[in-house]
Amino acid sequence: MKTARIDRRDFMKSSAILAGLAAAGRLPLLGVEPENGSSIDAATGPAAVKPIRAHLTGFTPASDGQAARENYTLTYDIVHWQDGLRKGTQRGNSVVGSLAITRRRGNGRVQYDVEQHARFGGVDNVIEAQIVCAPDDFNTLRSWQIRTYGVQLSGDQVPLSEITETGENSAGQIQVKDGDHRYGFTASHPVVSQWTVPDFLARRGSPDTSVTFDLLQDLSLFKANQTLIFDGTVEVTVKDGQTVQMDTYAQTGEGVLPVHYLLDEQRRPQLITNSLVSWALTDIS
Amino acid sequence: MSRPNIVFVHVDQMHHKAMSAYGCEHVHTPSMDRIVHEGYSFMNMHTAMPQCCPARASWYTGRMSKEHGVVVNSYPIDPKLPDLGQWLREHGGYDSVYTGKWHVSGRNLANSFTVLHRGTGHGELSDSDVARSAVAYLRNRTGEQPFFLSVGFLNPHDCCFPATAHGGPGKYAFAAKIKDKLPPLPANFDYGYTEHGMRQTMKWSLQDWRYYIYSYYRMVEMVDREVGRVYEAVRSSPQAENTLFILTSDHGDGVGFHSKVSKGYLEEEAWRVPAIVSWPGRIAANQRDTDHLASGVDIAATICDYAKVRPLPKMTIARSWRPLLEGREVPWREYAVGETSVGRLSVAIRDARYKSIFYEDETKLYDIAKDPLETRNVVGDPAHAQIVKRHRDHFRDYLGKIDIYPEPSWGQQQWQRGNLYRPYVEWYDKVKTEV
Repeated sequence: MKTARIDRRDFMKSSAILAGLAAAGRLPLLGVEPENGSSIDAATGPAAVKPIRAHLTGFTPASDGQAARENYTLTYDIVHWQDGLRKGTQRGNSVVGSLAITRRRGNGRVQYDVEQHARFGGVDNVIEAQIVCAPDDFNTLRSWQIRTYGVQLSGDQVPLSEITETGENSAGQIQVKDGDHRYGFTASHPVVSQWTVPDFLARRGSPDTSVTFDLLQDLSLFKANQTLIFDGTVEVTVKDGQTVQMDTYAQTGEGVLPVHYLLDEQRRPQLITNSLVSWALTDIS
Repeated sequence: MSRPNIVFVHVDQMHHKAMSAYGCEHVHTPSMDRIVHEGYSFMNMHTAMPQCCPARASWYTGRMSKEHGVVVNSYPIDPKLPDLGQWLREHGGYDSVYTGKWHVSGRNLANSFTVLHRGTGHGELSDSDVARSAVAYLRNRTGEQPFFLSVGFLNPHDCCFPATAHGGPGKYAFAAKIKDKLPPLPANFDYGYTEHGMRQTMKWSLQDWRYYIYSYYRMVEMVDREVGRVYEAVRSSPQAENTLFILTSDHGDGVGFHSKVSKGYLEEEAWRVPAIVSWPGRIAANQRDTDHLASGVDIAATICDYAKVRPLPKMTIARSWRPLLEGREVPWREYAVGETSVGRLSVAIRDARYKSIFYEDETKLYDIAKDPLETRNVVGDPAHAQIVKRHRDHFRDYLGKIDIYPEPSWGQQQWQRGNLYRPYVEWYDKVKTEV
């Protein structure tokens, strides 16, 4: 049987705190929530899929193909959580766009081609990127080009909307330029983009995963000190009430709300959930 | 010198101290810190009214909420009032350009500005695209015409959605896994919130509260990086030497102070906002002005002043910050005013040290200098009776200066939250005639 040891000094300190709380009229709270660890949200199912739960009722996990190969394309729906407060919208999820991430390895490097379309604000918001990475575990960013622009409903490009930037990461010194315009960041961890993290997990994720990296979101926004840990295996209910076991990994850090990556038993990164925007895999080839 | 370009960037629902440069240990905001270091911070800046539409209408008209008619969200602006976009275009020859959140109810944005991007109601979804549209405009524009670029970011306003435990997408149950990263509760957190707190938070655990605060600061960091993109583009553009940059927020957020979330009330966490102005070489860097009381209506006066156009009509209490920014001593306002019709109708009067919140049937008084977290209402202390009287005089003085927006003649069926005009019209009339 385990026995608890009570340090006399700790006991005196705790007693003083309790007396103080009682004097302040705050003591009853301790009875309500002694562990301070409960949550009103605890009974709503896996937190990892909370932002995308409505979408999951029609979601069929992509089952063809395999991740953790050298060359593949992942195609995702971009899923938006809506509060239903705006005219013509309902509370739940809607698909607002698509994302295709193509990975190829060769010649001592890994290349990613990214094409993202997201329709909101009256336009199709387009991102096209080509990223060259090191062939290491993280596929650390080496160099890239990114082009962003808007397309009107008519099909015409939105005037003045295009940006084309190129960038390099040399030993943590990140330089981005667009013609004469330049800016930069200094990283102290491996630098990755949100489009390359799923590959890391497909290839290296395990219950022991606990890593730190710096995120260059959209190859433009520097968010340092991201940690990525294994967050357990969850059972996710999808279309027709079927359930799928998925390993979850949680990313936390500056400038991001907790991001969850959910991989199936074949290491396919099926779902990536942020808070209001998530990705749901539709195809892997 | 030619008219300067003006970039006015506004975030949404940002607490006045949610910035690492201002000493907040729970958030890291390198981009806004840079603007603080290169600019002039008004440490006592208060929004005209702590809700989105009214506060924004005040920026663009220079008038208080009970003047322009946007008394709460969705109540339409007085159609007769010109706004900054129109004014600078017509009187200064400016290219008035807008991207992101507008939310001035009753005013069609496209009639006032050229629109680059309309954004969405969610910062996580669209703030990056809004930033990109602003950067693209700054890099791609041609010609010599001065521009007035207004950039409306959503975050940290997303706290209204994912950080709501009841059905929103916020991952509250995950909080237990990151306990060591959750900020502590504010010192003025009211532990009795489960009995007399805000309706939406009464069932929260303390961990839920701390996760809300954690999420809020991450949202501040999200928008910080977007603000940084735009600021970098401004400062590295060919027009950098001739561009005034202003950053502020429409209102604050509870962030757990007084056990509150959201906005609409006149405690400092909701009423007070950050405000920074930067123009390297023209405005002294790294200045923190704690002496002058600034107001959301001053935005319009300041922009008109720098744009060298005459002031918008009847900017009754708005003052240009320009003399302060340029280091000139000028007589300044003795008190700042805030109003709200969200929840209890109330008016705040703040001077250098004290702050009163007047309700129709109650008054609260705080010694802000000694009690910045507003924990002790000292209105009943006879030693402070003269302070309350002076603030009441200020209240009447204010009412004597403004044109009170009357109860409109159009139908009540269009008032989503009922007739919110008559109560303040009647109360203000009563206060004006007090002896």
